[in-house]
Amino acid sequence: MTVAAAPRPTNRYLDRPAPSSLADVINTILDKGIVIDIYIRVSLVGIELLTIDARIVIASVDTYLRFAEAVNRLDLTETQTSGIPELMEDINKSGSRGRTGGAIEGAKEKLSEMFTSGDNDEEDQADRPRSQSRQPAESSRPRQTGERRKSSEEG
Amino acid sequence: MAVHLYGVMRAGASLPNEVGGRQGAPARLVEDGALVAIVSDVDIDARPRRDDLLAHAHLLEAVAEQNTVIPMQFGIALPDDQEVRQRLLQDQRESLAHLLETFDGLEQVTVQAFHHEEAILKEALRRNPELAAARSVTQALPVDAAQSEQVELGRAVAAALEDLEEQDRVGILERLCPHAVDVTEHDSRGAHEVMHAAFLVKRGERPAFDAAVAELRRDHEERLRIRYVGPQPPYAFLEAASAGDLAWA
Repeated sequence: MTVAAAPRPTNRYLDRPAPSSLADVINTILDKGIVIDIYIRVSLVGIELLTIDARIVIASVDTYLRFAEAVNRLDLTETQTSGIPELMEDINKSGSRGRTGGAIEGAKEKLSEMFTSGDNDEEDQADRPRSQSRQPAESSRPRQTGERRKSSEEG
Repeated sequence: MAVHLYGVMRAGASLPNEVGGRQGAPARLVEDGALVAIVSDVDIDARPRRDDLLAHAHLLEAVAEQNTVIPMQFGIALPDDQEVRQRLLQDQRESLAHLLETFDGLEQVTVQAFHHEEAILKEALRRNPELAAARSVTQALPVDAAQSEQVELGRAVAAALEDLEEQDRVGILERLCPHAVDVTEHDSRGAHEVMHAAFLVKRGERPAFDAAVAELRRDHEERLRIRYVGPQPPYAFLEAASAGDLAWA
């Protein structure tokens, strides 16, 4: 899984935190907050179901095969002289950047698709890694999104 | 028409200039006693879109920059301002006041860290010579014949990655926690996700926390991708606060 890092405009050294992306909202804050006993639901068909169990099943044969394939492809020639970097130490800057891929990102993307219909969400797009090899395990996909997404796209 | 609820602040707190709410409507305040609710008028028949979710979240984040705000869950509306006063500000006065006091002067920031796949796989091989050896074996085998060896190799790689993730998770927390009052980790993590945690930070300590995050990014750029989101209302700590489970509060 040697994927060249595409140039991507980032504020890597920006000191301030950024606003939430759609993925953040869905992933971490949608089900948080105060509720009150009696209220009008703001036509929220489907929204409650968004708080899915996005837990990833790492221990699957597919995942193992993907990791095996990834290490088999690694070119180790330029890194043999490196020491063993610890997080708390300085690491030399020679390592090339790979891409994070992952089922949870895939799951978020699926969820994001539910809020389509002409909304532009460039910030969200820019904020998420674009994995070129996303292979979420089947079991990690959000359940029951198909129908609702379909109706969302129609609407 | 109805009134969408965003959150509750102490009376006297003001909204940042020109913050918009859902459906482009301006946010406004509904006050009762010592509490003030942030609301905007909404058409409840309109289907909520991603813009609505983001408007809700971003408005609260803009507010959290200056004031402590107790967030409402997305998707709650009441018929009119009078209902907001009665059902929210009066009926829940005590618990809201308690939460506002608990989180006074505090804001949440969220940090998420991922390993770059190639860099971390190389690191795993460097640290585990037996992986490199197993890799040499599988590479020498015909692709079709090596399925079980591949699975074993992958299983060993996954275990090595888990060790590295745990080590880096601890390392990141050690660097950031000294600048925070409290931390809550998110329970589900994706592939190569090292850490996902919400930190509760004193407003005055934010620059120190910002600097710690920037330093992490700078020092480990080739290995970690770090997302830094906020400031936010104290979403991740509300439940514990309501239950009286915050040791420091």
